[in-house]
Amino acid sequence: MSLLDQIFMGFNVAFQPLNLLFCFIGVLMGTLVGVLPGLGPVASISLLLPVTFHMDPVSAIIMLSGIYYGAMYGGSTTSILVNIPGEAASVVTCIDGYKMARQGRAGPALGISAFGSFIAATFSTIVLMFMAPPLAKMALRFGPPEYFSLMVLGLTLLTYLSSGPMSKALLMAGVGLFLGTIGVDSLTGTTRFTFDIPVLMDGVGLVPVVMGIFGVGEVLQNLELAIKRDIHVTKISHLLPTHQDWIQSKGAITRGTLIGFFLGILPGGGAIIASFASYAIEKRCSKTPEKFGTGMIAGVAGPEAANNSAAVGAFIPLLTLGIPPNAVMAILMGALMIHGIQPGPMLISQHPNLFWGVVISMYVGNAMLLVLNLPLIGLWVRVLRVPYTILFPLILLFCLIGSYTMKNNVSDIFVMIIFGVIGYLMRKYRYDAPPLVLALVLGTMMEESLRRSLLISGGSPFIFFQRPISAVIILGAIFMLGSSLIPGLRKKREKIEKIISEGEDNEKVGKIKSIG
Amino acid sequence: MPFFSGLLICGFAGLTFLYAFFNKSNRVEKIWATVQFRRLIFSVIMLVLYAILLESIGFIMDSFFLILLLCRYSGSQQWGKSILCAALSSIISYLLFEIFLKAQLPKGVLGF
Repeated sequence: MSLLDQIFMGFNVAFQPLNLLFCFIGVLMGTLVGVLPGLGPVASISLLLPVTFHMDPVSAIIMLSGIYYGAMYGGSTTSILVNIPGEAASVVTCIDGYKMARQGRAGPALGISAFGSFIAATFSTIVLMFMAPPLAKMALRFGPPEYFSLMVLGLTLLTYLSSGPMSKALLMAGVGLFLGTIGVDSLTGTTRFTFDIPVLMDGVGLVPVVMGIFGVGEVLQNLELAIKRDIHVTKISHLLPTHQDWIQSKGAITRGTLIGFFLGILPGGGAIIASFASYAIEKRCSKTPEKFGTGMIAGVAGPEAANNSAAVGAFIPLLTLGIPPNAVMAILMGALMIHGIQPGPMLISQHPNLFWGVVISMYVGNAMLLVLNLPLIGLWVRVLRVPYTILFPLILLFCLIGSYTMKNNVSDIFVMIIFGVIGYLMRKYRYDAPPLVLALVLGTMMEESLRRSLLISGGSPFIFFQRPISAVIILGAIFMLGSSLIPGLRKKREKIEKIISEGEDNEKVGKIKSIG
Repeated sequence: MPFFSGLLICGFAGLTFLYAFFNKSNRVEKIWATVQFRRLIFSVIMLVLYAILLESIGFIMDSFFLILLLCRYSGSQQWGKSILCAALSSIISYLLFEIFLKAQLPKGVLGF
């Protein structure tokens, strides 16, 4: 089947009424999640996971993907209007976006953020479409050592880029790997760490763990503070950016798109890092860097393009290599596996309707977002008025239903509650959850790759250094670990960590300041 | 793999302990100072009770009481609002999961 035929097939799948509906629901939910502080895309995708259990897998992935890239759009609205990032990737948008709003230019800021996001996401989708099939073909040549090295690199990068001390992130990765070993050993059939508890025979499920840590954990953390939102929003007019705005933003959008895309592909990278990197580069490229932070439109256009581009780029390693580059993709991978689909190099050839349907739905979804976001800004701001005291019991109920309906087993609810309390404590003591989730998802695959590699080499661990691709990847991971000890790089990393954690605190407390 | 992950956990737990030991800030006191333990503990107990009672009293009843009590006592909403929220959310979620998505939610002794 030629590429053109496959694209037509994608259009055929994406334009089926049911898939259009799920795409719409996905981007709508995503925007809502992006708007609401204290409910990130990871938590909301895991909350909506149970809804997809009984759906067609293509529709399910279309909807879950829509939530992810929709959240990137929604996050910018509250960043610009009320200085509260709806999710962490929009933290940097507050800096210039909110200043623009204070100067009475909220409309152009929102407009350029929506158009920049649309351009970036469309570009990334086109690249994804052309890049994924050859990459998947290349990945077919990967053996167990290459896969193992790639997973090690992914985990190392994620821990390197996570907030807080790297030792804590690596500790979390270790815990995730350990949790992945619980249950029946896939090679020998022996049970490990089950202590004769029936629910542990199948291993610790991804859904209860994710729902516990991201859903219940987040609710418990928000509950400890009495959140009161007081919103005063300025009148928004002239959403369309002027010719001058476009001239000032076009370079930022182009650079943001490219940076975001490559950081999105990188295992461990993602939308948050992409938006920060884009802002730093815009400041460096600008002839007037001192004006950044006072309401520069390039400071809004670049990061917003970057986070949307990264959100699409992140699909490449998942769909071609079967390796999720971040926590959201780890959950999507879990969703695919629940539906009996193994992500990896064979996915495009075995399930072309899924791959092309999801890719084309991204075009459709991004167009829907552009249409949805601009006229509905007033509605999104009103959504912020929904009291958290009504929202949190509903989130908890969804978590409970999700854990139960996975296997119709009450024990999974107990697992979720336990991980909810653990997740809450992790937040309190600043232990990052994404390395744990990624390690839990990758654990079984990593173990199989490691064992197979050692079988090939007759027990010699040097196999990872003897095969060129594997050697390059594993040396990259070692370099990454080593570089965290270099004082200069360490200071830079700590600086980024500080900004991200300040932004996250701002997001969680939900203190909404007035405009004007 | 269990050995290596155990090694990772031990190694980095030790590092984290040393980091905390030599860090002189009083962070532990600060992070627990403003916490409203009553709401937290109540919510966790409600979740545990929900799990225990789910199969005996059924999804709708169990969910109704969970939302009602959480809204009323953890969320400090008025009784009327709490009852409305509990009734709507338990019925809508039942319709969504049981009827629309064909999930099998527990019926309980009352048969719904």
